Amino acid sequence: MSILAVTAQIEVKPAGAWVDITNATVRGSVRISGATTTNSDNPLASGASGDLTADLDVMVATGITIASSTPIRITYTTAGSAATRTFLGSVRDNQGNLTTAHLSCVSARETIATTRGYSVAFYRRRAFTQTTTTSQEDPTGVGYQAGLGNWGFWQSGGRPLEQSGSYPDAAFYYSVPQHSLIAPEWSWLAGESFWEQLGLLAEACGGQVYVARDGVVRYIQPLTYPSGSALFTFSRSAATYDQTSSGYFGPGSSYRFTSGQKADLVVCPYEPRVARPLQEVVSDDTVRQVPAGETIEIILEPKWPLKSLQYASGSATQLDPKAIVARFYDGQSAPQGASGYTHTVTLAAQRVTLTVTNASSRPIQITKIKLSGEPIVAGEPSSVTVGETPPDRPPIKRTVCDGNPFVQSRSHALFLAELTLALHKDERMILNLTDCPPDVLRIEGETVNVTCAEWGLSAAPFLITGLDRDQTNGRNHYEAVSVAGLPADGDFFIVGSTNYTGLTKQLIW
Amino acid sequence: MPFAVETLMPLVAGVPLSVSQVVELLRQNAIALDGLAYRDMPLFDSMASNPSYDAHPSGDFLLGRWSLKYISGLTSLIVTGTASGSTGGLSISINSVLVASVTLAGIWTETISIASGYGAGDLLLIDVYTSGNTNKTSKIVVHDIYATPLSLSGWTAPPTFTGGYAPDKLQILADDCDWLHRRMNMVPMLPTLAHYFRNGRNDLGNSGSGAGIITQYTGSVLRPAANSILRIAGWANILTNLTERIKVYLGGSLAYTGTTWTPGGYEINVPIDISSIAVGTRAELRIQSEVLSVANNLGEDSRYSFITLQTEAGGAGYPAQTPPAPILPRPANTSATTLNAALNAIGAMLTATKTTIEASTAFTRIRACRRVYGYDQHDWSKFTRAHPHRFKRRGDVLDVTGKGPLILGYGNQIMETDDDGHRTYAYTFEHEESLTDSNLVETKTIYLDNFAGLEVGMPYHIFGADYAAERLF
Repeated sequence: MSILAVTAQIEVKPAGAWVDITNATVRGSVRISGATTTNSDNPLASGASGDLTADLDVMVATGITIASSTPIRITYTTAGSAATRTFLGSVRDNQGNLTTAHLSCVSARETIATTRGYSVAFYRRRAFTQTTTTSQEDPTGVGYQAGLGNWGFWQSGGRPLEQSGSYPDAAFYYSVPQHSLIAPEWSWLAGESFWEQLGLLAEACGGQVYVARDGVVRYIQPLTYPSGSALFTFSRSAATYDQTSSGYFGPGSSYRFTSGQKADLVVCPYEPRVARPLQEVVSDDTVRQVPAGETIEIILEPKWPLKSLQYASGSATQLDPKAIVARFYDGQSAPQGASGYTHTVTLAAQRVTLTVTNASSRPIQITKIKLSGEPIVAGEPSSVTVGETPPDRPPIKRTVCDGNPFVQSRSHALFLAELTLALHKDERMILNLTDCPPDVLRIEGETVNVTCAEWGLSAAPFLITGLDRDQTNGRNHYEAVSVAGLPADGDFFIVGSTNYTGLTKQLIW
Repeated sequence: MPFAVETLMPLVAGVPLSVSQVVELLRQNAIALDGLAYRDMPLFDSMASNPSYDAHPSGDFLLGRWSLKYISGLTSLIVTGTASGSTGGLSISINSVLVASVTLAGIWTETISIASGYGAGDLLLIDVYTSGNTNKTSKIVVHDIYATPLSLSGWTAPPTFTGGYAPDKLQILADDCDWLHRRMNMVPMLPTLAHYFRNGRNDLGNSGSGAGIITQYTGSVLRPAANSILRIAGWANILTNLTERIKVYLGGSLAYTGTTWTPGGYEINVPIDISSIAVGTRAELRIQSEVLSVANNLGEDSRYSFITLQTEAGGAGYPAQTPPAPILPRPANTSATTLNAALNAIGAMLTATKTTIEASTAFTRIRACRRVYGYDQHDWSKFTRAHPHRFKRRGDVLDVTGKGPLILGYGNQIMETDDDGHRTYAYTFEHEESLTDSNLVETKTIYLDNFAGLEVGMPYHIFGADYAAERLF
């Protein structure tokens, strides 16, 4: 049995440019693993995936320091095929001796997971919005309407894949092929790990966010799982290992059904959120000193996230003079302006940052800050349940999005519960395809066909949900789940130019 | 929560049309807007300060005071009413400047230009005096004061859906919901001027044989929509009279005769048909109490309180339009024909709501708010409690102008008693909050959510306001 010729190009970016460290240094050990979900018993579970990792044993590259966090990318070329990016991330650990080094690498997930920030509150904006060559992804750009997921990607250093030409040095790329199905009532980020929060956001929309083997962070909505024509077929018939495109999979391949993916009843809790009219949202009595000519930063965290903050009449940037109680030490009021203090306000949903500059020549004492705004308050938690109890056995009940802060209305919870039920009403065959030939074109989230007489499959559609590329022995392993019969885009009325006259379709929840 | 008119998520091409997040929200919006179009309208209070309009001195006197908040685009202030047995005319001033001298007739109307001289947010304090009156029995009544015109641009007629569901067509429905909400919010929601503990009589009148009648209330009723009814609510305390009742006259004709009461406390909650009034017009309303029999002439006056005096949507259809049935989502298949019909029905409902508000003078005129006044501080303090502005919370924002102490009260009404335990007819509310920082006249924007427990639908009172009106948002 011959092994296909596969070459790998390994590059690192210790400074400003990519440096090729391949130079025949690969000692035969490059392993890349990733999946679209962390739930192996339920590959269609929504939310965020685990990490895409790469482990490499390489020759020490003389004169190049590969510190942790150094960007790294791997490009494979299979004989007869175009070069394909198979990993993009950064080095987490580099341990070596005089001749060899072992690099443990992580993907953009790590970058996103360690990024924290505060966003404004987005109202009924789709959580993940489609990225195109023209979509406005820059939060400071004109007409910005991207979703909170896109916002988090951007703030973590990511740039849209579709606009990669404009951002050649992006820390990573992200792509949203289709808008998320759901727009939460209110969505915001408030200092938590972005990856964790974007996972919750994806879960609240029924989709998956993951890092694919090409290093691109993707969000996919569940109606796309069975969409499109499969470009590739895995087949047991007349295939051999050394034929890259044959779709061969080894005799050690297996299947399983797990009860973890089935549901008769789906429960979706929610905690309503609603913006309320202007009222006092911050009352801070902390006494602060501002020496003459000095600037202090004051961070205030309202109890509820804020839809808006009230500014002085006619101003979009300046607080009402009564909002900040400031006095000179002799008791005289310190006014706004050059003879007193100036200030700037940075508003995020759950953080108000005031920068106060004492513009006078006398010290100022701030004794009270009282801000009014429109808070987004939580209501009484509730839940919806959909599905039916089977007549012959106790129902399998699945609870989704328990404690997820982005599910904030009954209609949202109902949508999500119905979507989950549609995806999980049947147990689905999960395949573990092992000892497959190296094929750099296969990618997580891709729909493929599987033919296997022993399992009764003939060109059955499966979704690749996991990938393990072991260059040590040149073999690929895949995890895939059946997507036959799942609801797809084409089942529904689609907003757009299609004329449905005379047709019957479904309306999504 | 006030009636929620929901903002839809941005409608974009390429996504499945959602029932819960698009179609049903549009349907619910249309229903809510239909409900908002049938706004409760307080009666126009024509009571004089002392307090019945037909008891006044023979010289000139103050007929009443009102206030109105100016918004851009208003050009005319209309004052209209009736007069009989009068001499002379009326003097109308705005902010103490004489703006019109009115020649009285049986039905009189004065149009005053307010096209210039006022800016958005200005408060117009309107005083109406008699001028040249020499007759103690003249009857001069102001039936309505309002400003016009009102307009809002940006309405696009709902499209007809025939099988395609383009985002811009769906967006028109969403935009029309928003337009209707903003259009209705242009007209402030005025309070009822409540009348607490008004005195009845304790005798059968001067003749001793006829009924002991006293006018308890005079105002005018607008019939804003075809199915509107009049609602009178309050209570009566019959203290010593043996039998007593109320009568309601609409346009001079008896419209309601109450049940005969014996001593005790009674709630009044009376729906009255007003179909005799043309839609969009008004008629005079008078409420009288009538003593039918007494034990002797040494009894105590009965007491009457009228706290709800308004027109509201009648029982024959509320909301008045029949909303389209909810459309079912997956797994039921839906034909494009059914979906078209659902969306077109929503569009038709929005169009009908626009027609409703344009036909109803409830939304084409900004009416004046009745002001309470007294000739001295004692009167003022007394009248602000006897005649507070009473709201049933419908919106989120209250615009109020007044001289401190300006108070918002809500919750349980607590009656005070004297040292002997007798009711004094003085009262407070469980929650009373000062709205001003000083004794100066202040204009405030009050966000009603700041008052814990003051939920939408709950009544509250404003004491001491020159002007008070709610906004939806």
